[in-house]
Amino acid sequence: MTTVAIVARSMWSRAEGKFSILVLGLWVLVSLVSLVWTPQSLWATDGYQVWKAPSAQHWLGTDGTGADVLSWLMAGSHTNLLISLLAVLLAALLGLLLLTAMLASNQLLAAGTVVVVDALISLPTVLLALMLAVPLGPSIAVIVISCGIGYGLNLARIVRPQALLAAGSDYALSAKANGAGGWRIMLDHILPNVMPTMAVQLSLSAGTALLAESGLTYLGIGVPSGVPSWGHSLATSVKFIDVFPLTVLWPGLLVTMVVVALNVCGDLLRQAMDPVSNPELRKLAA
Amino acid sequence: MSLSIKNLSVSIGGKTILDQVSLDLADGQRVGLVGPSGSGKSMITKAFLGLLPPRAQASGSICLGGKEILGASERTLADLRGAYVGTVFQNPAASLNPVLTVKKQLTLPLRLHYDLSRCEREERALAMLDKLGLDRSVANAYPSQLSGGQQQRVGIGTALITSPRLIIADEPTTALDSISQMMVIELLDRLVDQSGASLLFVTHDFSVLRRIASQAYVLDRGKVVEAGEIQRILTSPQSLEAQGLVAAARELTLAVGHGRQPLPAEERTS
Amino acid sequence: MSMSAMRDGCESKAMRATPLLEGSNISKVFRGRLRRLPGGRGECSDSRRPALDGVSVAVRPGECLALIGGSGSGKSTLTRILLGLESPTRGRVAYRGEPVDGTRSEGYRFLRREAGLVFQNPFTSLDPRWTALRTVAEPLRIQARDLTAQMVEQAALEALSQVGLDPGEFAGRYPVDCSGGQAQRIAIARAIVANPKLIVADEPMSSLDVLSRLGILRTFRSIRERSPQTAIILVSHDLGLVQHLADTIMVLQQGRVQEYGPTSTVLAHPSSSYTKELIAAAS
Repeated sequence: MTTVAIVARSMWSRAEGKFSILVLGLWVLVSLVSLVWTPQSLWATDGYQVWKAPSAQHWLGTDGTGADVLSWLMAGSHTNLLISLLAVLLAALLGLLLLTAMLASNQLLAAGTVVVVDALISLPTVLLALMLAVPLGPSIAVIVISCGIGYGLNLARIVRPQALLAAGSDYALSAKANGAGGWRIMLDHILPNVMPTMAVQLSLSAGTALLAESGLTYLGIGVPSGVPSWGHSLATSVKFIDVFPLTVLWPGLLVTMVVVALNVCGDLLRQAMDPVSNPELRKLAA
Repeated sequence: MSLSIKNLSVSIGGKTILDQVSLDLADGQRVGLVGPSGSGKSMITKAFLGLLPPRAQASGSICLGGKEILGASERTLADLRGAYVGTVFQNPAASLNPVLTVKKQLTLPLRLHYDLSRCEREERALAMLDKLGLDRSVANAYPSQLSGGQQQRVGIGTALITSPRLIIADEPTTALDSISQMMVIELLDRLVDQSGASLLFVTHDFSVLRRIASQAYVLDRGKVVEAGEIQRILTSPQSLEAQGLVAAARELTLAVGHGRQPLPAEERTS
Repeated sequence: MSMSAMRDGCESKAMRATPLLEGSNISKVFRGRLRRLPGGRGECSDSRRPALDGVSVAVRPGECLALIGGSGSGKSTLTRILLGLESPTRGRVAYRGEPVDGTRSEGYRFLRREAGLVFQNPFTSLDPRWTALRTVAEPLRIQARDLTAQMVEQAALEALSQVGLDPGEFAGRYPVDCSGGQAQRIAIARAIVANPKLIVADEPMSSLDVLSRLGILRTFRSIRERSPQTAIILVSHDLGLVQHLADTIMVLQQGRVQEYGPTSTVLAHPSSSYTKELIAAAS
């Protein structure tokens, strides 16, 4: 059996693992489907059918323009998937880059990076997004870049102590004594030993990016109007929460479920992919 | 204080760690518990300190001074642990709190278990430093400022400050260099002698044990495989496991020593 | 041939040969009051007292040198300097006649190819996320770039069986599933896999129980029998072990050499009180 199969099976063996795999799997599936098909056209508005309760024709009802809520949420899922993936990717790249600089043999570079990270980490993501929105206007790029930078800084700072531990360990010293260079030790010993922590942190970041999307879109500097996203669905209906609470409930519930699934997934993934905590994985090598 | 363990079995997750272990320690007696790592010897000390992991299943009986402690309440155990039982741990660097000064470490057990004024507590702590052969100026030092041997002496001090009736030493010398080992053994020997307490000394090394105890139980894979006088076990070990431990201890003892008597030679029995 | 006769044979042969590794007049002063050495264990030193003070030492091919001393004696610092992993404040180190002075020096490069290390605690010296096979193969992967993956694996499996571990059983094991003795054997296999000319073992047994200690002692003996030209530097405080392995003993105390000579001479006629104390404690 392959590593992937074992990791998946260890996660599936627990109830919360089933939940997170199902929710996240469905998310990806719906995102792909929504690229080519939605139950109703997004632009099929109907002035006589606004704010309708769920019915056979509109499963989740309609919004203020009479468009189908389910179709908009389905279409929004691929926007949100894209935002989460890109933000996490950017965070991982930035985090690793900063981590490498923090572990550099050049003391000035290492200490300097620590100071810079500590200073920048105090900058709120929202402030960063507001500044980016000036030149870029409301766009997906604003969300991805501001989240990517914020989470990248966090990642570097959270992983650093563990990386230092691995860098100062006897096994790293042994590799050095055998002639391994700094890059080799980084790739062979330090990265595999910080991977589990990174997995948790990045999956948390993916969830936080979803929340940030909703927040920034509500503020008008996130996803531009007309582009389907969960934040967009929330922002257009939240003003009428007193009158038509159901339309707010659907996107809210969706975001919450996916964020919880991501958090659970990260924790389980850490245990499942780490040979130290997953005996099944160790048996594979034996 | 007497300790009597009868048919103690412990298993964790279906895996047997201890299998029908019986052990007797009379008041004032010194007994060694010898075994290689993984033999379950530290699980015995954990069992009667009430520190078994939550998933562990224990059966049998552990009587401390006539009181059954297996399954006793947390409160009873805490009282017993602090007031009647003193424990010296293997790794002094890990068992001392790094943010407390030596004086604080020493007075902590007194504060928990006795009603003494601050002055009295400090007095006792300083008196203990004298007994440990440490300078009184050490009182305000932090553990990281002490050498391994000094740390272990403080560890012994915290175990003995409440004048316990039973002292458990769980591999107290393993982490130390040979000179510090000797000092710690001699110190423990003297202090136990003065207090008249019982001693249970857990170790893997007969060459250390023979300097401080007279009786020994040999443990292997959760079972007591041999028990008796240490002199007898050293000269004619009966079980294979004891033979292995004695031979190893003999080979790893310096052969050209001065001053001290070497390990007695093994009697060849045909 | 008895063990002692063989040791004498090695010794006389060793004396004639030129030194493999030589340190002359090495001193080390740490700047700052308290310095934590990389590698986990800290060593206190204050600015006025040097950690090492004019230590000269030579190791010949096939010789086993024991460096003995308590904590703070400077024995760990000395080994790191001899290995080129730290530079001395004063003094010179030469390996195979070439100076060891910075990472670009010839001696440093030779050392990286030809020295194997064994540490005190096997569980911190093995990467917890690597299998035994990968760990043991590491020195070859780094150094011998001309070997195929298959040859590297073959050599690693052979090294495992040399230290008394069944390759079929242990190749895929992770450190968490090993006892202390088994883990230390994996670490020794890593140290010998590239046929080193020098093995440096820093307290290789002090974290193990007596049975494992005996096993490791036998492993070292068999390494010496199989490759009689390999020099060993054994850092230890345990004379009970040293008597079985070392040809030469150097006793260090507070950075100074207290005693330096053949094992039998030092053990039978110790000249410093510190050495006498050590001998008394170990017998």
